[in-house]
Amino acid sequence: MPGYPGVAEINEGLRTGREGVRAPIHAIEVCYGIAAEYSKMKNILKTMEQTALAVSLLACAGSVWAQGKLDILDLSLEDLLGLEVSSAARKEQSLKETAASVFVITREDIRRSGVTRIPEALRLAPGVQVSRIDANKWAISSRGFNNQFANMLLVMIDGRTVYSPTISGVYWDAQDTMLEDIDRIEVIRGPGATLWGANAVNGVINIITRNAAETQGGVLVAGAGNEESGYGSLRYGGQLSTNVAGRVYLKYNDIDASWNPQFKRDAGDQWQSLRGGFRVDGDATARDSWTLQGDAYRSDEHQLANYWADPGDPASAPYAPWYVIPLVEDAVDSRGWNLLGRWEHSFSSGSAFTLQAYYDHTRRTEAFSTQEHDTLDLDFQHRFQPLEGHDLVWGFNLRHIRDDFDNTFMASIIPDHQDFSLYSLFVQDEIELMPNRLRLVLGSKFEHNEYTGLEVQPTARLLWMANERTTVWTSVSRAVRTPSRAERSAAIVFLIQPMPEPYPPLLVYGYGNDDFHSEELLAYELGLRYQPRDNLSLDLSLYYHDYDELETLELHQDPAGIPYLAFDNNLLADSQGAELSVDWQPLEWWRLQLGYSYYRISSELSASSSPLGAIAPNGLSTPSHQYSLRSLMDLGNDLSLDLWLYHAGEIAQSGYISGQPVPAYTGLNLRLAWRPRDNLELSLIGRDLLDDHHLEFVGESYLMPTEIERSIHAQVHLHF
Amino acid sequence: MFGFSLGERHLPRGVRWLLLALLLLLPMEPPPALAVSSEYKLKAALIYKLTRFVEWPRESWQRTDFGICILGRDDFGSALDALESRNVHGLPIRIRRLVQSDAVDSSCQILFVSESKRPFLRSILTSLEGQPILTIGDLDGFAEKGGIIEFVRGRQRIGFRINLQQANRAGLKIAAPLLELSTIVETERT
Repeated sequence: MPGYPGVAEINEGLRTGREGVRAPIHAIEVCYGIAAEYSKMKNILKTMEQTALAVSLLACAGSVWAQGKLDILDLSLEDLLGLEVSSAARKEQSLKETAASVFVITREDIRRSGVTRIPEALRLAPGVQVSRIDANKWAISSRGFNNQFANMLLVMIDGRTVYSPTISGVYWDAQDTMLEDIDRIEVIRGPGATLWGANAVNGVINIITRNAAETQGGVLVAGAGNEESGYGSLRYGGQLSTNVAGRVYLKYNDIDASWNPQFKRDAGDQWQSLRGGFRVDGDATARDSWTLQGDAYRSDEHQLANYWADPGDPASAPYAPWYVIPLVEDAVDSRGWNLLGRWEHSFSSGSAFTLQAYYDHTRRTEAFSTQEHDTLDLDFQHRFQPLEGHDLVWGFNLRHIRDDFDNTFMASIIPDHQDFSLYSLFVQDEIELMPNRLRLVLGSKFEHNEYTGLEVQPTARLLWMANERTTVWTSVSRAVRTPSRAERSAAIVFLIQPMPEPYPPLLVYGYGNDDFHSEELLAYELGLRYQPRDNLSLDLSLYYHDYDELETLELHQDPAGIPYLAFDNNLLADSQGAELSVDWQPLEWWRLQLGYSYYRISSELSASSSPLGAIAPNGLSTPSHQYSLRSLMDLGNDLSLDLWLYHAGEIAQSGYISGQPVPAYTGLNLRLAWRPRDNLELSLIGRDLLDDHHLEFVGESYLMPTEIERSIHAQVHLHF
Repeated sequence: MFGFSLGERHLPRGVRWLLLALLLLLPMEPPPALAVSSEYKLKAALIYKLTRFVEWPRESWQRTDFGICILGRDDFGSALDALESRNVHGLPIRIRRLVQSDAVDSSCQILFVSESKRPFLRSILTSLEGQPILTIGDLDGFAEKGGIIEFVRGRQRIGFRINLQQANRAGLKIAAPLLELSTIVETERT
């Protein structure tokens, strides 16, 4: 039997493990030498070259370390204790110390919810309205202004912005990843523009995947059911060298159609998607880490829609006089890829910087348009402590977007091709007024875009940690939502009106407007976090949002008397609301989570609105009351039962133009999981069990109301 | 590699120089020994290393494997699985993931208590008292609440706090070199 180690062994354990460390350092210096030579060769460095330089520098450093062949497990204890854990440039703070409405969806939450895609996971955050329009479309927003193209939310995946510049909204069907590799989803309700930039008006969703070093080995998830016809995802992670870890994944989903209540048939919205990607993380030195990651995806989606026929085209004659082609079985082809590189460096003083560059390509084709975007983004952040009690973060961002459209009769973007640049600078100081008690955060973003010029988005936040268990915070912030491409340059057919003979039908267009400017928000927030007991915590936020210059579609007449609509900024609104989340763990094996949100809005058209009338997204697409209750039970070490009840109140006016009301609905999800072995889990998941089908939201006018059906599926989760 | 270039027009000269300056900043910092960007990768290595400085009572070795158990949410991911290729005093390491404290038994020589068990930490640790299990955790005050070894994160490094009293009660002996690297604490009275 092995016994207790002797003193000699302990001392040996303390001292060994340093060989092979010196050589790589010299090699890294060689890398820097190469980089320096390269920079001398070019008098003026362009951005791309600088990025390429940074990437080659990282690659060089990484490959050098690969020769080191040091396993961390072979280091001595003394050496391990000497290792630095890198600090982040963009601050990671404990929730208790954040002066904003933040909710973190953890990996565990996602796993136990039984969801199969990112948009569905967002329902876990209180105050976020997740409404399904059909099987492949979602309306997702927080604090109101929800619709198919909801545009006041900033969504990022590993620091890559994913909203579409055409609509300033997110095509949720294109946003996904291997759920098992997500570390957490940070949901910030309310403005986050100072740190994150434009579009972060009503919220920020930040999806963060795990470091490749934490996702080693294989994971296979597969399942099938009535609505989830079949899905599977596979990830494999390996150690590429001592300090470099990587993973690759592949994910496939096949989703069944929903229900069309009008025609009592399936809604023709079935779809399949396939995506794959990789992530490589490495440590170049003790103070430098880097990440290289990328994804590629393709979705084949279907939609049943009513489209306009071109009266000028002889082939449209059968559709006269209304020129509507009903129930078109249209296909959506959505595809894209992205590549991102990040370099993080921390200084011995505790300060750190991050330099990140990404390239993102998307292409989406449906009957009425093809849109293509190429985005190149460069981001730098630096965090340091200039004075005692000050924690300063500053940074800049450069983004270049190139778009390309194939215009159709129904929708065109003019010009159909454009290059667009954004650059911004931000600075934020966190001042410790009274150590560990009172903290003031002051900051602002200065962002320049080619449509509206400079936009200033400041914030002031005060955080008071009254005692160990109570935190109170308050804030005032300004945020803007900059114009989308459609609001500036679209020409969309809104209506075809038959006219008496011999006149041709009247075409009513909606036009983009060169004068359309940013929507503005001034937000006042108050929050309380209270933990009366170790097993009970409560988080409450109250807000008052004062909006100005909100989007409207104004009715005008051209000189010939033909009516048309044009985008303008003529709506004023103010909303009030409250968001509450309670987390209670009455027993070690039982946890309850309650989420509730209240929302109220009043809006009015400004005096400059057209006397002929206007259409406006008046904020009535969000229910006054939403709640969810989750119960997570560990019935044994290998058995768990989770219940998830959610309720969304009535929507007065869903969509933007359709304005159709949606009745309140209640959903119940259930998940029973059995873990016969440490690496194997079998689960049965039921969603929306309370009714056969129900309506959650209605999309824009070309789509028909679609109801979401009860879904049951079985899943296998295997680690190998 | 990329489809287009940003062009000079969009990038002020100042920004260009700033980027260049940043690249040059790097060599001024002496590159230290080795990096671990992942906190839990380091913690997993520390758990493994600690086994060399702890003596379990003889009956703990009447086994065919050395059990490292995680109670609650597993933050290590695959970092812990890498230990399964290693031995502790000749016994192969086996990782077990436990949901409830009831499942902790003599197959665990080390028990890492996850942050997710925070509300029940004290009762869990009390129930394990006297068993020859090395309890490790990274919750604040883990050692005072009756845990044996607590990982504390300093500004950039990780350190230990050890409750020696609790180790003695469990029948575990901790070697002097480890104690020298640690802060010794006592169980706090409630």
